[in-house]
Amino acid sequence: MKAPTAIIADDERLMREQLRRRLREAWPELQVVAEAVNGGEAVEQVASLKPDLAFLDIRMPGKTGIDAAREIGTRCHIVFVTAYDVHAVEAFEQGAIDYLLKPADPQRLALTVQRLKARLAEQEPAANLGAAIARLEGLAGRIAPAARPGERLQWIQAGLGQQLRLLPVDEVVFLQAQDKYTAVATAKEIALVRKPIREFVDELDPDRFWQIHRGTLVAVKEIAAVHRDGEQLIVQLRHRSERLEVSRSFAGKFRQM
Amino acid sequence: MNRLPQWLADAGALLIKVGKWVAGFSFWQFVVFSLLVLVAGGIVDSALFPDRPEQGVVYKRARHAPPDAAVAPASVPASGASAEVIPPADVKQAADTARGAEGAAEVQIGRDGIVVHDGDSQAQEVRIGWKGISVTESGGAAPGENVADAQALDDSTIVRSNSTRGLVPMLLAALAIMWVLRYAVRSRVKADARVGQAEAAAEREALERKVVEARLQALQAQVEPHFLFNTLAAVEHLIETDPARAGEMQRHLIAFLRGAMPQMRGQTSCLGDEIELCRSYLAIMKIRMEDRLSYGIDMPADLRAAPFPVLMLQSVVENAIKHGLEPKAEGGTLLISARAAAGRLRVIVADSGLGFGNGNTAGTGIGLNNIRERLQALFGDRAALVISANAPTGAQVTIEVPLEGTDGNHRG
Repeated sequence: MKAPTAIIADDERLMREQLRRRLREAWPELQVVAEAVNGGEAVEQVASLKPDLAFLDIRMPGKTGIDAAREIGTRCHIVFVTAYDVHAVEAFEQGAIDYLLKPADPQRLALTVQRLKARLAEQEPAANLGAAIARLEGLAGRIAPAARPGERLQWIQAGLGQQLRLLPVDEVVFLQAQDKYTAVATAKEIALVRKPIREFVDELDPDRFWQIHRGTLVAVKEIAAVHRDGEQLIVQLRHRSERLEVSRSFAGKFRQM
Repeated sequence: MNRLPQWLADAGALLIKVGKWVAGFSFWQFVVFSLLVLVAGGIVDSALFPDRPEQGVVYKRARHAPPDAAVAPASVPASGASAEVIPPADVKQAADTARGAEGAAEVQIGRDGIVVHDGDSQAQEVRIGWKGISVTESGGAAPGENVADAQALDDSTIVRSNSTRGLVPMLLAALAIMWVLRYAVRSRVKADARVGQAEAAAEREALERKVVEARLQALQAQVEPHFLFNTLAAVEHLIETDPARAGEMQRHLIAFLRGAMPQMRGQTSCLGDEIELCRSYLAIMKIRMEDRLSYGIDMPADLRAAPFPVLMLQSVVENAIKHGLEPKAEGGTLLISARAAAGRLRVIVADSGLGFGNGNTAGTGIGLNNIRERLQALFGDRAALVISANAPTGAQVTIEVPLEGTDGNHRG
């Protein structure tokens, strides 16, 4: 029987070295054939080297350990490694996924090695982690919070002169379409954003920003007054002098006013 | 029909304007104003219509007056007859009195006026009607003609009297309306002020609550467990492989924890301490990330003692590492610089990492929002948080706080 092989993926060299050392003690026959510094590299190495095992750190630049595991699929047994991810650990326990905590405790490592050896000996196919990973991804937001769909925009990236700036949504007074761009006005400045207004309509909290025109969104808290000019409703602002027109189809918002 | 509401609205607006103007008066100012208006009204009244007729005239004739002592059909009393001026309400009574006294005069009060006959001769008659007063002499023209004369004579007088009689009472009515408006506007203003006060109090309360919350968050979240456990794992590895380095890392960790643990530091901080905290953190991250991280700190020595919010800079630096440099395969550089300008202390954290919104660890900006709220709560408009893109890649966060800040504003 050929010696079992493994790759270790971790962005920190010290952590890779540490795991390698611990494995050498707990499982002398195991050959660590490669080390990866991110998830992408790990996926490539699994494809080219076809190891029996992959030890994947969860937090890595580019592809995370979870991303890599999804791509690797059932091509090898996967063991997750983490220093502290309370939600991930919960998911591992529920999904009967192999995992190690850094720094690997020799006794705990010995247990994991025993289990992995048994699986390899019985030529068990690598567990399909699809469902478990899907669940993990539900928790992944908490591990590495990314902007999830449905989450409301908090900052707007905008060009101001030569600078690219992040404007807090709280400070935005109104947004107005200008062709494919959107002018974003705060109390002090107006910035142009390369993004059509309809995307803002979807991304901004509709309770905080009212659409009053096909091309205009206004922050509710910035509305000072609404008055009638003939048939036309006009919005006056607290911190800016512009007067914004309310189009007929959006006038319903102000019917009670 | 359509114009009526507009007209009403205009009138209403005018009333409100007047009310607001009058509401500016104190009670005594209003009294003085009213008196002035009335006096001025009286002067205008008498200047425009100096020969205003009297309000009521009763002619009495002495019983034994010579027959030629006639009363001319005007309000000029002739000799032998007396005329006295009395208010209209008293006319009947005066006439009754006259009758009682003379025993000869007859007074008739009818729907159209008052007629006084000379009781003795029936030769003289005074008629006081709605349109005028007539005096008929015996042997003269027929009474009817004379009444007509009197009407002709007095019509104009009466008409004039009607037009001028109202000026002072009208002014009084206007003043009364103004008083009511003044009262209404004043109570409205008072109510508004109460609402305003309540709103201001609520706002202040919300702000105070935010400070407390932000401080709690700052204190709770400072030592990120992921950072702590990874660092401890690295120390353990270095103990086995490079004890000198392990010792160094452990010392940095102790310094960092001393700075970041809430119970180990006071409520106020200075820029020097905050920078040292970041230095410990960066030294640890440097050992872990090795070549992937380089950093620099540029702080003029005289800014070391400048007050600075507790644990704010460290959280910006940690964000830059966590979301900018650590997730970037090749890593990058982080620079902290502090400068004083125009009464402000400006601290910039610039990194060459992924930049905002480009990594899968991109935060939701909640950390930065916390910083912004905390600055707002501590310094109001005198502080700022500016986030911009760094060239060619990465992010730049600028924190500006007032430079002279030892006035107790400086809470954590």
